[in-house]
Amino acid sequence: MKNHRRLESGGRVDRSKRLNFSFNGRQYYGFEGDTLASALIANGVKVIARSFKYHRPRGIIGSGIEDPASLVELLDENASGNNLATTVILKDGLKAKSINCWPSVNFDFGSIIQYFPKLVPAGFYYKTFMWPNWHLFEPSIRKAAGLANAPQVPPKKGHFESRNAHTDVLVIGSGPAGLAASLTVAKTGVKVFLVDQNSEPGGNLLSSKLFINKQPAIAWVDDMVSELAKMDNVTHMQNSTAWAYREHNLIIVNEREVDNSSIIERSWRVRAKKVVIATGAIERALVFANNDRPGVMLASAVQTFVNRYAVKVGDNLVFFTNNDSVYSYIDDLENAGINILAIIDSRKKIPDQCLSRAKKIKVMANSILKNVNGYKQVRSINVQSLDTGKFETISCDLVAHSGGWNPAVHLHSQSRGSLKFNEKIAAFVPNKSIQNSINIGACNGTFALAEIFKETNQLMSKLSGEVKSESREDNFEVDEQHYSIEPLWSTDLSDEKEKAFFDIQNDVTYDDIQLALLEGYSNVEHVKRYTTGGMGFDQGKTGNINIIGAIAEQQGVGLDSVGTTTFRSPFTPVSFGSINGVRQGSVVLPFRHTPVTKWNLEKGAFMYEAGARWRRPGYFPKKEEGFQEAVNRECETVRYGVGVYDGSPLGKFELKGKDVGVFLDLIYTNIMSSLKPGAGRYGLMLSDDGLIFDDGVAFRIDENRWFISTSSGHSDAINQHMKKVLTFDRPDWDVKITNTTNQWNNATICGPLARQLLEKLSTNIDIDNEAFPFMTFREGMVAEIPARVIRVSFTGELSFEINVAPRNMLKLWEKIIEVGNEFKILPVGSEASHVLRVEKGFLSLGHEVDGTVDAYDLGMGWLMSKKKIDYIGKRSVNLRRGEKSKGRRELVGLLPHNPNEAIPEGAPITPKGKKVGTEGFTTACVWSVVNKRWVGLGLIEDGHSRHGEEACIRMKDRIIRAEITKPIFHDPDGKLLRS
Amino acid sequence: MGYDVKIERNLLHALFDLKGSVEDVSSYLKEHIGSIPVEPNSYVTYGNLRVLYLGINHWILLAPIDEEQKLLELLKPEFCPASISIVLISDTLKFFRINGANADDIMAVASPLNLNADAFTNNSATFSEVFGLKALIMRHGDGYQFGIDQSFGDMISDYLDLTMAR
Repeated sequence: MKNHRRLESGGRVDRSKRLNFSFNGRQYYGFEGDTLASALIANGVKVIARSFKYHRPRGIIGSGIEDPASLVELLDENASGNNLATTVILKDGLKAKSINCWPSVNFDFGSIIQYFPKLVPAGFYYKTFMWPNWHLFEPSIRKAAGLANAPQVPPKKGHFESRNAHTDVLVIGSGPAGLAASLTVAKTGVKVFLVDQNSEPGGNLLSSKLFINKQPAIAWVDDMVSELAKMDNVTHMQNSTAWAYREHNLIIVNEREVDNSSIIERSWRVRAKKVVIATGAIERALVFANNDRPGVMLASAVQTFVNRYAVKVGDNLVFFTNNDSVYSYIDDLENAGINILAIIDSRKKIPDQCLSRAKKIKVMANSILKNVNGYKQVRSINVQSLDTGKFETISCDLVAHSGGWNPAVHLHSQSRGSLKFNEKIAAFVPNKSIQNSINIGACNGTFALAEIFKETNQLMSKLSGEVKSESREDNFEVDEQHYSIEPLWSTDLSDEKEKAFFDIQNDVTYDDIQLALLEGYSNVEHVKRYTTGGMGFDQGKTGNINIIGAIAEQQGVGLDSVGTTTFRSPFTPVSFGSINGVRQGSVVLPFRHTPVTKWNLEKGAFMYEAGARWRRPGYFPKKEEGFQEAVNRECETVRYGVGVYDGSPLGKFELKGKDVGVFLDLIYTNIMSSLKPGAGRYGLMLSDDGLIFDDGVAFRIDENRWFISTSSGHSDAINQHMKKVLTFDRPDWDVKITNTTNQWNNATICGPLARQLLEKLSTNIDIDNEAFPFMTFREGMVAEIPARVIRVSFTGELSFEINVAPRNMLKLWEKIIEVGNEFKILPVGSEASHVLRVEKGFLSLGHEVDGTVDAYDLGMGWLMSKKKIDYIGKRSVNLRRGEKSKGRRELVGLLPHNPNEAIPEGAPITPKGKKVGTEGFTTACVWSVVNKRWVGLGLIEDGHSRHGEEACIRMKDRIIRAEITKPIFHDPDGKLLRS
Repeated sequence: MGYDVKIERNLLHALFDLKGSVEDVSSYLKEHIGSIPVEPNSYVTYGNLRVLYLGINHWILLAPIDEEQKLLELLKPEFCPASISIVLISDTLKFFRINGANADDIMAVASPLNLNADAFTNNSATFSEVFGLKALIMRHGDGYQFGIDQSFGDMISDYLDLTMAR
């Protein structure tokens, strides 16, 4: 197709740079400087999309981010879900298609829904499709109400980036106010960040033919931009939308055309001392029947397409307005060859300045546009005179309407600044700023260019004084402009059968608003939620204020009384990729490695997250070996030979000071202060409410130095807990804590052959049981590496925890494996470790310690010191047990009657297996290699006194019966671990 | 088009965690090293040693890794007064150095810290955030170096590869 609607001259497109593109499979071309929307108009394409709910044909309505109708999906290397055609910069090879239509945008089966509006009124999903279940219908309804699908594959080239920036002043918007403000402030030498959502600076000046300082406004824009470009303290970015205003003057900006070919889009997190909001104003629509037909456009958009993109949007145009602005477009449109048939003005008295501009045009005062005729394009309109009540039909192909201008207060509102209604311009404007920001220009309700410059000078002089003492005022000579308005929130549509839209993006009609009000949703927030008006990507850009006006009229109050809904971020749609930045692939979730991780992977370990972001080996399967076989093999190795386990993630802290002993006595339930140097003790930490917080060991190094070891997952929480106690509860205590979790890695060798292996590794530590008993530590050399060896055991077997610096860990590990080959050593994963601790009845956080149990429940009352006056959690435990010590869930062993039947972890235990409230649950169940059967642990009411009884584990389809036993299945006297 | 930077990864420094009152730490260090810094989040340099002031009653002594043993013998952590704590923590942090024309770009992606020259001077050092993790950040040459929890070293390395934009 040819660019048959392209004007021969004018505009800001470069006719020497032709760009080929396809839309819905058809080939077209445009020029550099085009948007997809302007190129489609130039090629005569009228229907771009189908509407959200009714699948009505929609054309282009606006010219930029305010367009509520032209969502398209970009394909191939530009793959991206929902993009407004008016904001897509045309590129050679661009491929796009319409969304929410089947089989095509011109013939869409879904459009049948528009003939059954009573099936889908506002809020239909709250009261229909309830039987048998809403979720039965939900998928089909969601599919019918369409947005584009997310791209199925990531972009072929490049990646997204999210970065930070800090500046003195952030100016949002490079229209006349933003440019003037930026230059004024930048001249003081402070750091200025200027961002703007459009492809070119200038704002509305790009679409107008105004003069500044007796030269075309665009020349003034070029001068300003050139001057800013020379300043090192200025960062100027176009195609960059400030879409969120967060606390502490943090503004998030999405840069779409990055000067780095590797980057698809970039998100900026800009922290500014001062924010200057110069986001301009958005023309609002008028509400009349069929105001969504292709060919019905915002008046400013028609001017923009003509002046900026040099496309003739239609041939025969009718304006419909309630304000002055359309009169300033007349000359531009007539010069482009558009025949202006009439101006329908709802005002009784039209200002003389306006009439003088429309001398040759039929101006119909005190009249309204009642109805648009046509389906996929405008054919004619019906006009009603409010003086006589008579109707008139005018044949035309283009309707350009203007309901006034809404200052773009979205970012001000996001910053939690308040709004007030300005009667003069019939719009909400910024009232008070909460953060360090100011609004200038049209977004502040100042529309005339002269006034904008005057206001900008005043505010920027004040701002310059705030950020730096020097300032300079610039004065600009500009054309005179007039603006007046008489609000028209909606025409009388009570008898109208055709739909009139308040919110075109969400298909919210006049009837929907009336229904919401009729059903008692009088608050604007309720109306919004009931009808969805102002939701989605529109966020009140075009339709919202008309809804507020309609509510005000119906209630007979001012718009101030009705108020506005919350303007939410994002101001315009933002790709998830941009928000996410480089966080993809391997770093999509944080992960921690030990120096052995690579070795584990090379040996085929099955790795997973095991708390606190540690990626650990679960088990080491041989080729064609299953999970259970691998775990059994590792368990048998520990029980009958020797295994090695990477215990590096355990939390470790070194404590020093004269009060460490009493401090440990406070945070553990048992006494630690009596420990001799070199000795350690197992202990429990409770939370303030007396429930188990963590378990671990504490060792004394010398008079004033100790170290403690905590669970891996709770390491950070314990660190915070200790610091909180020392900061708030015992600030006078001399305790200094250093986190040494990553200063010490450890390889734990465990099993009856562990001592022999340690001897073979060569050590200068006397490892005889008497010289180095259980729960002591020694420092010395192991395999020629400086080490701290600790005798603790989580498996119930003889164990040596060999701690070394991480730089030596892999060397130690490989040495252990090398020397251990003689003993048929195996690396042991977390799964085998779990089995071994269950056989011993050792507790595990997250299993037996589930946030409800105390030490007595777990049969560990012996750890609750009777001698100490106080420790954290003691009072709560005593209070709770004083009230009720019976009926608590207590730790027991579970032996399934069928030794080959496993009990799923977490399975409920109910009295006699009845379908009643549970009396407990299974915390763990493993195949015991020493007992050759399944054994489990569980928490069951009064479990300690029920040994020998039967527990019934209620499954969905059966009951598993098990004997309640002591929670220990191996070496009950602990002889092996002390051996 | 990638960023023009040189990245050195997983470097070790000799690190000693110093805690205690200003008077006690100052007195002990003055005897062995020199005066301690008085400006929070700054450091003083003695030859190839740096003393970083990072929080209330908290300093870190940083030196090349081959100085570690010598400093251990000098500072004698196990024998220092009870009122101060000196703990060897060299292995807790892995350091990454980023130098080159685009070092600022990489750091802008990695960290929300204000690294503008007027806010983060040549002798600044602070614990802040790099790729969402706690990190010890300093300037280094025409770029930066930061230390990150050793166990996250591989993840940070992956992050840097992604950020390099190649």
